[in-house]
Amino acid sequence: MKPGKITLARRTIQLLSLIVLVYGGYLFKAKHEGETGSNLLPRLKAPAGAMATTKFQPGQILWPSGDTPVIESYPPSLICRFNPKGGMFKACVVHFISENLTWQTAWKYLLPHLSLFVFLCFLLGRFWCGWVCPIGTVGDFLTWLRRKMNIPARRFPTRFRVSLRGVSYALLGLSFGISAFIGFPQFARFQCYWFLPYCQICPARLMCPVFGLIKPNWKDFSTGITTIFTLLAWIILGLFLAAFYWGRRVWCHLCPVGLVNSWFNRGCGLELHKKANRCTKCGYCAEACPMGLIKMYQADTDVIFNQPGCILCFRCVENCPQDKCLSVKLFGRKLLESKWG
Amino acid sequence: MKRLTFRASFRHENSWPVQNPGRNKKLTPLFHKLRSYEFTFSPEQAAGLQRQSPLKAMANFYQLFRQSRINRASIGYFCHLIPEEIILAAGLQPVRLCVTSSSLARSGEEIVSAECCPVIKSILGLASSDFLAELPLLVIPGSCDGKMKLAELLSARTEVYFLDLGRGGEYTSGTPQWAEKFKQLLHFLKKRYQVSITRQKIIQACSLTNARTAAFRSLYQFRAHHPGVISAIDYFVITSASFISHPKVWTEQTNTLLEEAAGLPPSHCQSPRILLAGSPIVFPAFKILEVMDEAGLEVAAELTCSGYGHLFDPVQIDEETEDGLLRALALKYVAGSLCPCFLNLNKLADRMISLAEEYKIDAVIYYILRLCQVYELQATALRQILKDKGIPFFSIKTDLEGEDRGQLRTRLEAFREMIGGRSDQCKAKNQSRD
Amino acid sequence: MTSAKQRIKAGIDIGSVTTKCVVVQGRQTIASHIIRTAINPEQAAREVLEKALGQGCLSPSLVDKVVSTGYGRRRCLFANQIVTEVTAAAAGAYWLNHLQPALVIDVGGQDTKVILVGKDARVVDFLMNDKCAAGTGRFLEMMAVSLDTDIDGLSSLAKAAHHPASINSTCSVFAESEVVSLIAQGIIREDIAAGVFLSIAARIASMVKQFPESSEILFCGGGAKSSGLHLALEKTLNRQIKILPQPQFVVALGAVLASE
Repeated sequence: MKPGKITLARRTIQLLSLIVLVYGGYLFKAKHEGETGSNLLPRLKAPAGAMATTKFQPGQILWPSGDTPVIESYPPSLICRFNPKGGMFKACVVHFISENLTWQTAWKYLLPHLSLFVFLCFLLGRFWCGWVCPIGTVGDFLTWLRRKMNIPARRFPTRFRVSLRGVSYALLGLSFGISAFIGFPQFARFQCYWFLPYCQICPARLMCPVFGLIKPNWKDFSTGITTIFTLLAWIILGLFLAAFYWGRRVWCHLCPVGLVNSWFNRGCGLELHKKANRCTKCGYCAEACPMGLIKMYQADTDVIFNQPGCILCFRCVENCPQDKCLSVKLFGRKLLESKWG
Repeated sequence: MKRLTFRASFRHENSWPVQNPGRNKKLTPLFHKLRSYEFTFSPEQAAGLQRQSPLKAMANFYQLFRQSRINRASIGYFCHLIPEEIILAAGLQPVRLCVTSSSLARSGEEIVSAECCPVIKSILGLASSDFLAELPLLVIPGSCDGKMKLAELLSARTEVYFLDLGRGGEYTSGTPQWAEKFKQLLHFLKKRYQVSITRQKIIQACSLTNARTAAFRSLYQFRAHHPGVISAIDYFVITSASFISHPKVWTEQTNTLLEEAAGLPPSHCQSPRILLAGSPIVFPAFKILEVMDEAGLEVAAELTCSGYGHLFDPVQIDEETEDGLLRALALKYVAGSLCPCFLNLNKLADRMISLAEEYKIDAVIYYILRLCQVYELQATALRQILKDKGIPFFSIKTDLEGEDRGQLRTRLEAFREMIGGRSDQCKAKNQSRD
Repeated sequence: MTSAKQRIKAGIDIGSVTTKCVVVQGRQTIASHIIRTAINPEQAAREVLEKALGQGCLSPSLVDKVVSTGYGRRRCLFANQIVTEVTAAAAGAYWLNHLQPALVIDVGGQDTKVILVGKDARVVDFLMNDKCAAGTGRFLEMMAVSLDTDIDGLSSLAKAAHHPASINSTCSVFAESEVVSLIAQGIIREDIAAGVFLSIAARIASMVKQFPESSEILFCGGGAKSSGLHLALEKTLNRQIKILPQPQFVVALGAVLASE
């Protein structure tokens, strides 16, 4: 089967972003060597006191880059700091917020980063998840492998997907809660083990270094807490791979970065429209949705469909066999429209 | 869990559907008087075949109806719910045997009572001719009750595979079951004909039928935008031809026809534009089309299971796994179906409304074959929905016999006067006296 | 030369049983005639036109336009225009009802129509009975024959009824045998006649009830001449039903009006 135009475009953009986001540190390194990141946005530093406790101690799993990234900021799509030479961007938004909650960084320093992030999210919503996120690209590759091996996709009921979103909220809440908690001086002693708590178990932390041919810090059994974190990270990595392999993008319902992006999905610049009276309820949109959403199929009235789960990959638009039934609008201007053949 | 056991079950040989009637020798005496097909089909079909069309390429389609016997390497089926792609992938030709003909219906009345659906009677009439003499297998869906019983009756004539797809027609709950049923059919064909049906072959068959869909869509749009060039009768001859023609041949012939038709000027006759929906209209029973033409109504678009329902939907393959292919087929044939045997009233009304918008339709005429219950039952509901949208809706109930032509014509002419003012807008045509 | 308003026009309604002709000058009916439609509808049309003109002492050359309607409308080769009986009935009833919208019941020889007439004699919607003769004038005729009387006799019989018999068959052939069996049961003719009217009325009422409530219900066509049917309809629908003047000529008059 030849993939359609939208899928081709998406794959191209996904590959390009994978290269830029992951290898950007190598590609653009020369320019920035010796500099302290871009001077467009303020560099965020740990306060002098905090640095002492967040030094890389033997007991700490996380192994962040000591070097500066090309652009010292946080894109809406996930990329993990891994590269000793510094990546393209610093890290993902969960990392950014957790870190600065612990450091208790002043708002005026955070504001430029936050506003850039919010601006990008408002612009394109979860488009970043569908078209840019390198982890999603890896997942799509796994899905492609499964398809080649003629193994049926697993489809999950709506209830399961909704509960995944609940888990995602819990992870994000715990992560931010713990980060804020250990930021207070009287609890600072916990910082050496609990700094960036979600990152400890995030599969991207284990996966991203592999792209740069670096061995991630994949095991640490030195203390009880690190042992638990290590085991958890393994289990979650396993689940992550399995989820992408069998369940297409079901993982993305759980991803905390995706969760943060999804808050901006409704009302972002990209809109997915359905014209209900053209629909034959054939279900091809639901069938093609990598996130397994069926609301688009179910809608009986003309709707703007930007569900939180939607990663705006437009596979539904591509697969819709009814001309002019589904369409994509960017700030009210028609960008794409379903057209068969 | 379910899927795992389901996959495993196909490694074993004994998982054929239990409800398959197969061949029922006890019923053979039902069809004891086999007559020659030409004889059964004669007057109406002969008249149909001699119909003149201004388009030369139409001859290709008429030629198809001259065959007097079905090919040995074919599989017969009814309704637009049977996955043709699977049959094509098995190297066989799917032949849709839905037929409407008053002469066949009359000979069908020797087997069942006259108060049965005319389509069922016509099919039984066809079965009691030697047209099906060499047909090895019939695949019959459980769309309506009539088709379900037909599966049992026809098991007297040939081997029958019954494909029950339920009545829900809802994507979320139905797709796994439909895909499973299609899978059973696929494995049945594999075993029955000792062929391998690979994914690649199914994908090729899908591209064949998709090409056919593309040709059909251009035909459909051409007719809507160029009134009078391809008449409604020609159009339904073309769609009926797709029942018995190989998709590849049909696609080529249709494209040739469209090329020829593109050179002709559209008619200036401002007849009201009608969306014709409802029961199947299959060669040679074109009474409704003839009367509509006499009454000065232009069939600008149609929404019947013999044309639109059969050819409009493509297969959109999402994943080329076996499961993905079968699901894609299930969606094309069942979920997207407008067959009134499923719960899809609103969907059908939506389709009518959107076609009316798209092709500037003046009114919907809903054609009900007498005793075809499902179509009749939803007529009032459709009327109500369309009334709210301001689209005139007119249901016509008739059968295949010609005795009510005058009455039909009065109704349709009155309807034309009702929707399009009183004066005849295309006098030369409408005032012709018979 | 007469002015456009004063032109003489003829409307011919070639029905299955009778052929009616109305000659109109302006909006004034100047002559009308009715004959039975024999085997040849065209012959009947010529004959009825001739007779109507003769009645009004008019020469055929004075007629500017002939409009035909009814079952044989296309058989009337000398007609200048053809309209269907539905549109014609609507136009005629609208005119006779002082230009007021209404619901029109037209019981003819072969079919029964219920027409919702809107503003400007526009047909909003209409229903026609199925191809069988149940609920039509023909049905009444057959029943009258079974009871050994004629249609007017049937009405007078029905008036004397006390306990109308129930006749369930809507098919005229079956109804006839039902009537025969009722006679055999010893039920008096009066009650059977009332039952016949009620069964037709129920059939027509089911058509009427498919339309929204209308301000007025008008009754025309040959069936309107039967007082028994009128009473039965009023009883079944529980409403007053207005019989149009000269009900048999409404459609022929309407044909002329509709052609303008």
